[in-house]
Amino acid sequence: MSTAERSDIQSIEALLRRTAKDFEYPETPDLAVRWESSRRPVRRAQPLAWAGALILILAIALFLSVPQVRAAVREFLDVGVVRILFAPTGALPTAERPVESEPVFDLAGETSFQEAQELFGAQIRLPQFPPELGSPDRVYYQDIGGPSVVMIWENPERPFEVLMSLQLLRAGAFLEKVAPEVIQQTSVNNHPAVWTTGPYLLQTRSGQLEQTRLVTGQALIWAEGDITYRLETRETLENAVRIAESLR
Amino acid sequence: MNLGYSDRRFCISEISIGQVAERDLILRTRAGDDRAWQELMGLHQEAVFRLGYLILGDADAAADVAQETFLRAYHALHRFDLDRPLRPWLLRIASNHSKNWLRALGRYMNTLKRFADLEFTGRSERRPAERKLYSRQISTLTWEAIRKLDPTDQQIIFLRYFLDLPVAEAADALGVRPGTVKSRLHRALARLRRIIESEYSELIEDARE
Repeated sequence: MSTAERSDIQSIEALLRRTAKDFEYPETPDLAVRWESSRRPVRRAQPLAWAGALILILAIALFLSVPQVRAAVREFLDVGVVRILFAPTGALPTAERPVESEPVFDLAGETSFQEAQELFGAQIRLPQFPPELGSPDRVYYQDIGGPSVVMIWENPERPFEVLMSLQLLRAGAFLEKVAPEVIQQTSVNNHPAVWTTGPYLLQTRSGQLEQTRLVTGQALIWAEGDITYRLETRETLENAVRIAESLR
Repeated sequence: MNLGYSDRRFCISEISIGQVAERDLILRTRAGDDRAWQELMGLHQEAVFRLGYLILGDADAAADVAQETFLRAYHALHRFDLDRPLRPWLLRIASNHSKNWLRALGRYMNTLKRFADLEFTGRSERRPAERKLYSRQISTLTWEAIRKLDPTDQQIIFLRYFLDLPVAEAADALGVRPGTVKSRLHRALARLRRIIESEYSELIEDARE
């Protein structure tokens, strides 16, 4: 470096130090005080969102408290941390379900696979089938009462269109599906599994928990060890099971 | 964004907590002492928030990033190497999360629009009739030039000059060796020099006077 270049670099550094000195930051929020609330999924207080979730839970509880309803609900199926409530065909009203898929960039907690691995606290296995699938395009870590990781594979020709999502949940997280439209029991690696449809709870960037879906398709739910998996895909059941059994 | 005179200069190196005390707080946090974690947050939240603000240019987004950073760090604290300082690790999480945030379509477009508006407004204000530049104008123009660098160059400049991290801590925050920090910084400064020479020559002329 010539003397002139060195001198210019020193001038640049002087400019940077002056700019840093003059830079006015907004006041730092006191996160330490808000720590207790920051440990829960909703970061920006959204009373209506929590009210919505509470209403949903209460509605389910009230729904099931009616003797006729309890009699009509034959049984429930627990698959890991997911509870699926069955109902006779046509006997019970089905909940409204959204038609559109949630835009993927509106999910909360986007991170890297490595960070998700660290936060999840257990091995995150990836599907090896189909061979051209590759690594997930987006990874999200969400605390929904317990650790949850959502991985998304996008349509390479249409960015932000989700081809497949795989959600992993550990103890503490809890999901409930009521009277899904389609239900079929199957197995993954000899573990009981269900093939179903309908929305589920995801946390969006606004801090709300919303009933939504990422793929207009079906969901395969099963548990292995202490991890519950939910694979959402447009594939057939046969291919979905094949994908699920390819996790390494 | 408002650049104005400020008597208060934030300097991370002035934080007077030793590595031993920090280690103790981390161990207490691991044992379930939430107050210890809150104390650690209090010590590092300003640096984390400011890095987010430098990258994102938005206070609300920076607050979200900072909150998410501490949440993630808390859940991963059991894996943290106690022989390392906490701050660079927190800044690395914040930096990654800020970049992920930027990648989200809506915020990326807003950021582009925000800085495009800033540039237009800034230039109309910062072309005074007088040749002599005032301090605030110098800083504003320099900031404008910094924003023309790619995010990698901006980040190392933010860590070294705005957050005053020593080379070793900047290396830790970036996940690279100290030698790499020096070489990246040298390249970033060279690129910044070229931008200033071609578009903000008055800064060089003012500096030489």
